[in-house]
Amino acid sequence: MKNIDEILKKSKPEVPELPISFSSDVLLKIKEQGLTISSQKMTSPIVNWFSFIIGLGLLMVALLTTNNAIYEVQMSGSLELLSFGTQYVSDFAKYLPLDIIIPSLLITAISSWLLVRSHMIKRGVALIVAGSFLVTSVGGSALASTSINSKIQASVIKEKIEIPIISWFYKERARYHMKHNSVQVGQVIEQNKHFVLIKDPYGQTQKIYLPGGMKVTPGQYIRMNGQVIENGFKATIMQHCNPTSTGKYFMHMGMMSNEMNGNMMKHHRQMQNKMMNGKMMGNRDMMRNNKQ
Amino acid sequence: MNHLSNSDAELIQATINDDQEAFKIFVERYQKPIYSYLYRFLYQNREAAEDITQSVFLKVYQNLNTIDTAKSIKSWIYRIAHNEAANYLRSVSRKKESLFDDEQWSKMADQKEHQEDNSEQYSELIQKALEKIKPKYREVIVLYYFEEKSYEEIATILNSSANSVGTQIRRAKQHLKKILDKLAPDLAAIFIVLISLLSIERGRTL
Repeated sequence: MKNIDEILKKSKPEVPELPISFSSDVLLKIKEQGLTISSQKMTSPIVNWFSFIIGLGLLMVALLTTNNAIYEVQMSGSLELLSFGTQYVSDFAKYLPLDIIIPSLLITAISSWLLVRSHMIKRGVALIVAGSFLVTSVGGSALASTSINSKIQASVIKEKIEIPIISWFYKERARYHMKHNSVQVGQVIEQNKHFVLIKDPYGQTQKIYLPGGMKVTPGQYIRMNGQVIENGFKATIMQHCNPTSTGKYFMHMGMMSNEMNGNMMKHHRQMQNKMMNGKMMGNRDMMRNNKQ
Repeated sequence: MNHLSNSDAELIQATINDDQEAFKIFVERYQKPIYSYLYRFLYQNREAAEDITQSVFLKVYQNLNTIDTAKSIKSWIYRIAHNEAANYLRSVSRKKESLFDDEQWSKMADQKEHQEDNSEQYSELIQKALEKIKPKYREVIVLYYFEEKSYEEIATILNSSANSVGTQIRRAKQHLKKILDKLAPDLAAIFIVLISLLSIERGRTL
């Protein structure tokens, strides 16, 4: 076969002539349709650069907000519910911080619109929009998987640093752990023939009756599915937890003791109501505090 | 007023100042290359190419104020044409209409059987293959090989980079080769029939 470039060049199809009246027809069409020249002037390169920089800035804000939403989900321990299958998906959904997720999605949408409008990225609209959401979600997840949030939270709470919004998030949000009347998470502190004692993330001791044949050793982190009985919790399923991720709940909750302020209480109360409506049991300490 | 010797920028300014004759000259200046690009890109569909060329100039008229006369006006018009053609192809694919019907295919096949010129057969084959590749590949082929645009010009038209255009052209050629490989057996069969007929004819005359 001949060289394809050569063949392509020779394959140029002949183009028929346009009607002689073509340009007159265009003018006629303009008249018929009453078309006018738009008064909108061309956007200047400065405006384009401005849109681009603001767009990038907002993308970073969206990324950080997504990281915060993921961190709150991680720290609430609600992901543990999903370990027992799809039966607790609706309960898990109740813990989603929609008041952070929705603004994050909106900020991403605005940033992608600004990036498209800036004409600085030589790609299609769909690709820029998809890319923005990908950057936000992947970047937010990656950031949340590091220890940066715990470090910031520790600094904000222990050193009482006041940074607008950031202090609000780390002090008043991401400071609770889920409680569910069918699921328990904790660290084994004692074991005997009939039951084990665990310490839950709130520091309370719970008596657990494990399914027959299950063995645990003190120090292990476990999660259980079952039901509350008169003198403890009767587990029907027990799973060992990842000590790194579960250990975070204990560190996290330990850091917060006796430091809740009014706004945080309010947030907890909202979560509490959600839990009660969804057959979830509230944190006893919180209930006591609320009554006070 | 005679506008024939006026520059594009002058024609645009005159049109903005309500001189319709100036816009007529402007249209005449660009109608042929735009129509030629659209005709070749839109599967040699004359009617569609004419209609879209007209809507391109209507869009140009409406957006005369946004033209950056410091940049290439021609590329800007091509860019509008590219967007209009893309919209048209999308609407056609939504309606699941075929731009190239069976009758045209069989006509092309008949013509091929009667052709003796090798290069013309290649050309027909290329056209057939170009019908089968994705529009985005077809477009870069049309712009680069048929409209003889540079990588930079194509990049401006497609709102892409010159490197990306180079990659697209390379990929387009790879796809084209694959399709040609599939189509080639047909061509080989035609050659064999032609050669056999020729030998029989020669045998008779001898």
